[in-house]
Amino acid sequence: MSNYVLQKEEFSAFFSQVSENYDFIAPIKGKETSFEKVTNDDMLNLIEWDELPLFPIKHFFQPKDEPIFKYDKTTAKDVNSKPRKTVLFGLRLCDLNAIHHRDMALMNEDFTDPFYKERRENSILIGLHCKKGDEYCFCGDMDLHDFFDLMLYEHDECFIIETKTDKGLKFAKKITALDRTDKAIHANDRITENNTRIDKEKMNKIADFFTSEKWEEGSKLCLSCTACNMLCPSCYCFEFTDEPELVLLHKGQRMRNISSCQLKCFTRVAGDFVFRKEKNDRFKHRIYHQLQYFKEKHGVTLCVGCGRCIRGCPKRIDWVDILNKM
Amino acid sequence: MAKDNIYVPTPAKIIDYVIESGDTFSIKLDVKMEHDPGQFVMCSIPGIGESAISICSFSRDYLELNIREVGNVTNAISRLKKDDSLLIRGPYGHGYPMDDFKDNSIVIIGGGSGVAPLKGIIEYVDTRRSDFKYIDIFIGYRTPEDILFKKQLKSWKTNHKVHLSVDKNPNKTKFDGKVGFVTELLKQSDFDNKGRIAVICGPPIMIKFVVGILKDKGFNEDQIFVSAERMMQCGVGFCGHCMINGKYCCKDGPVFRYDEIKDLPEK
Repeated sequence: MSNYVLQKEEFSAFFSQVSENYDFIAPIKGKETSFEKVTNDDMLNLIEWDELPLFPIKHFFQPKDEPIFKYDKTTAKDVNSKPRKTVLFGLRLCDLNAIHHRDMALMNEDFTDPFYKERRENSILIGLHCKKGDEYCFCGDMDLHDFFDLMLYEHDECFIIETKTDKGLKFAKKITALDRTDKAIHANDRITENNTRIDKEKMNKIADFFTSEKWEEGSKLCLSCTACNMLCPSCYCFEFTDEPELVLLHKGQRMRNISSCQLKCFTRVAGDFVFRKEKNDRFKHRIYHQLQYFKEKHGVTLCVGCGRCIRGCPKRIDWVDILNKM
Repeated sequence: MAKDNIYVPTPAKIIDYVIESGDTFSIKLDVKMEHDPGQFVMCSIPGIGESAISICSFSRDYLELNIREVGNVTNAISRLKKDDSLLIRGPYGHGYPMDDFKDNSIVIIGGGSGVAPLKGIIEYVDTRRSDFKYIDIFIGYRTPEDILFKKQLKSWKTNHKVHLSVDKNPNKTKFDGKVGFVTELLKQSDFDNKGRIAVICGPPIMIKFVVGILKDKGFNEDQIFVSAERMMQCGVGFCGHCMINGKYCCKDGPVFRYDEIKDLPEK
């Protein structure tokens, strides 16, 4: 597909053209960097171009809490949802692959999550090539592939933009701040430094280590705070709760809330039986879902190697290090 | 364009309500739903929540659910009466592969509430009796007071070989069965694995012992089918709560062929 070029000095024009028809979401620096809606030109100065944002993009596809239907006594009615057209800008390859994995999980031949599908259909994914990982990154070990509508590669005064999908190409054609270019993306442009650290051989044999006591090195420090799940761009588990209206108790809405396998209540059934009672079992479950279970079903690991679960862990539990030492 | 929201349940009217035991009741719903024995539906009481309940009947005209009052949702359902409605969605999961069982004899082993989904198999067999050979039913309960489906038990005894046991009989209640574990009855019976399928539903400890006995009798692991129980929220393999070492109990199960799950550490 064709390549485009965006001059850095044209970025403001690019933003204003895009925001005529789309919500523009980008990594914005704050106390911690997170993906926010850019509402004015001034915010463009806050875009994080270099480092991986601590918070992932997943909340735009699967909010922390959202109503899934309204009820009234014994009837249930779908909620009206009109997702806005959204450009998700500045996604790293890890974030993009996490979206790809979420597509596999939540839109399959048997069932499709209606809310996720709507948001995905209304979104354009614009990647930003990541030049260098930090001490927690291991995306280079995870067989990520090019999954995006458009991808920006920085060149001195401009970005060369690779188009991957018809959706991306159609979008690029409409934005006049983007010009067609004959410049190619070279192998050098695609390099990300410092992004390997997991022992791949151990990772592929993780099933053999299920009963290893070494996992306890991590789980004994774990606070079950769920930060790893919340920061993971791939984790997609959720739960339902009913939220009655405060006055008319028979009316209300069923909410979908983000959930965490690190909590005891995650597997609790009526009668108070808990299937994963021990912290070590819950600690392992997340890692095994990421590296083994998802791969058995979908052929790829759920984990994309962004390292957020370690970077954001209050105890800095480095499960990659534990696995490497197996 | 309206989206196809798979999470929205539809109202179902209760057309019959039977108290089975001290904490268990059956409701018949005015719902026509194609399903296999062993599948389940998600039942909602708005404001309380949603629970997975296995279908215990096999009929194209109605749906019967057997429910034990153990949690918030099941307690709320127990307070409903005939002609009230609740919300359901489904059916979900993989039930028993009845087509594969054709021309075989079936050994049915159930404990307590686990008898409910097995009742669906019995009713399925009764609608096409000539497709199957012998049906042996082994069911165990804690006490005679806990015996479920007393009404149906009579016809089961007429049409099939029923072995009933209770763990203990503290009130010396009269009942047509033996005192002791159902596993003992199974051990004493003389059948082998030739042309036979075994289906088990009950507490995990019972499943463990029953599988051992069946293996002693020569059953291969692919002749044994077990039903698993986990926390279920979405019913469609998304929410993650019911995962057993990567298998979604709601979507890949709840019925598993034993050799498919025997090596899972969390089974």
